[in-house]
Amino acid sequence: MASHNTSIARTYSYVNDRMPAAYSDYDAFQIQWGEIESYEIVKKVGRGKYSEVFEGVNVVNQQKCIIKVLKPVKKKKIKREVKILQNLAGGPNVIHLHDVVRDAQSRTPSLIFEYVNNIDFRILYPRFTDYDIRYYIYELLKALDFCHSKGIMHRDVKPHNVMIDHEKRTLRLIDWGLAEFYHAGQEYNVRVASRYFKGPELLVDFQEYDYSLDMWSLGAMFASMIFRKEPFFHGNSNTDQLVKIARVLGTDALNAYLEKYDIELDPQYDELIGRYARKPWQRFVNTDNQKYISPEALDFLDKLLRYDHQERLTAKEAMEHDYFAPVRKEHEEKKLALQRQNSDSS
Amino acid sequence: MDDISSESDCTKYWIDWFLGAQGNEFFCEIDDEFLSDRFNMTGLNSEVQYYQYAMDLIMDSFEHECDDQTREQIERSARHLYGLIHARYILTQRGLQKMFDKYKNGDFGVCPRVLCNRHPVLPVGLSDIPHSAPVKMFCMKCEDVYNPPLARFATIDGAYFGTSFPFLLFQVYPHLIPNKAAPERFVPTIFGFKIHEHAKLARWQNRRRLEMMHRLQLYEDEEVKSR
Repeated sequence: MASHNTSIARTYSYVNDRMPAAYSDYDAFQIQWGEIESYEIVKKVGRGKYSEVFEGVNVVNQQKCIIKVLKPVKKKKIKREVKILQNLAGGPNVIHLHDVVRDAQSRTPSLIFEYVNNIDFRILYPRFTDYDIRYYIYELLKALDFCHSKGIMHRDVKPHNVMIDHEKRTLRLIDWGLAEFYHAGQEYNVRVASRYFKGPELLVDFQEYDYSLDMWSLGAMFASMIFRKEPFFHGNSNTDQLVKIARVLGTDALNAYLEKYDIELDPQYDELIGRYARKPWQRFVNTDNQKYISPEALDFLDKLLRYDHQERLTAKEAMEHDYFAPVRKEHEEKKLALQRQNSDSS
Repeated sequence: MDDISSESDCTKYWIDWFLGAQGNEFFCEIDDEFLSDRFNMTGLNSEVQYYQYAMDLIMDSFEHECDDQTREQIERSARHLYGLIHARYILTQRGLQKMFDKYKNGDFGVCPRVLCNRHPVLPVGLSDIPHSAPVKMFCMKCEDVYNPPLARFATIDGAYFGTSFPFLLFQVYPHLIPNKAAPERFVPTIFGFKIHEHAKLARWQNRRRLEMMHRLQLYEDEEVKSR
């Protein structure tokens, strides 16, 4: 790795340093195992690189649940996921971990989560109205601001990991298997996130990244939603992924980014990158997606999809963006209605 | 050769040969007494070609001169006839006794089901009509039937044992019936988790079984009291 200039998160930079060591020292954490007998498998609902996922039932209280059976991985990784889920327990729109159990014989660990009734995003997203997108992105931002405020970066934000129950209008950010504690100045593995959602910092091998990585991934996901182009940056490989980004954001800004942090690009990019001008966002608007487009939407997107991770909006700043004005208004009205209801009944 | 002929009076050549032949391990020896009672053979003469010659062959009193082809046919008839008589014989007191000894000896093999823990099995026919189906193995522990483990048994007619034999045996020797109060059931799991639909049914079945056992106990207690 080439020498470079250091980078520290703009917000929540020292959260973990101010907490007791046990908060982020997941290696020393001891998992409290529950009873595997309490849960039974109903049907298979999904599969990931690191897990098999089933719909299950808690036979003690007859409640539906999700059973995530972890494939064999380092114990440390399991401890990290469990510790993070417990640290985030009760947070807004963070999937709730009910229990951790393991098979007595094979010791295969499984995580028991609250049940979520999800519809595949490829079916659901095309049905969204402009307001729906604002509403759910705002809900996702609540989860992101919360986890960032708790010193945790998710590192795998993508539609597959955002469960939406459209009937109940609820959202859950799931799969915290790649999530990690943020420590200012620490170098992290750049082999995280899924290709289409990898931030430039990962692609140029800049290891001192932070929470702002999640904001890029959110931006890539948001772009796919408002432009109805899935995925928005469609790279055929990790190298090609950066090329696809450069074709939109331009190479001048990329070079400025590399210079700012003194990052040397891998020689394999030399012939691939070329020179591209910045493509205005308006260029992606067409008759199919224009119902989702507004000056606020494009401005919001523009402030997320920045090479320079420090330039991107933080989750908190994002929630204050004009794009969410109608959502904040609805939240306010709901709050007032609730207050009125409470004062009426008392 | 001389040795054999000198013992001719007490050795039944044909039956000994038959019982010793590979694949015939499930058959027991039919008594002379049963074989010589013509009443026991009622109806068999129409079932078997060359009935009398076949009978003579079984009884070692065959002295008929014939060509090889006929001889071969008579041999086949004798084997078939022995099987048909066997089906009748093993339902008699003496026959059941002999099969009981073979059962205790493990001559019929053991149940292939894992949770039956090598419980001995009995031969059974799925039909009493010859040439319907080859012999099967019945396990009293799981109350199910299985194909015999070896290919050589696959050609043996199930009618040589019949549909009633194992169950009549357990009527006569009730102490052979294994205790089935708490049957061991296989529990399918995925990564250690039970499968809900299956587990739910098993729970229901176990509950009903306990209820039924409780009811039978009450019924028995009433019987005792009223006596």
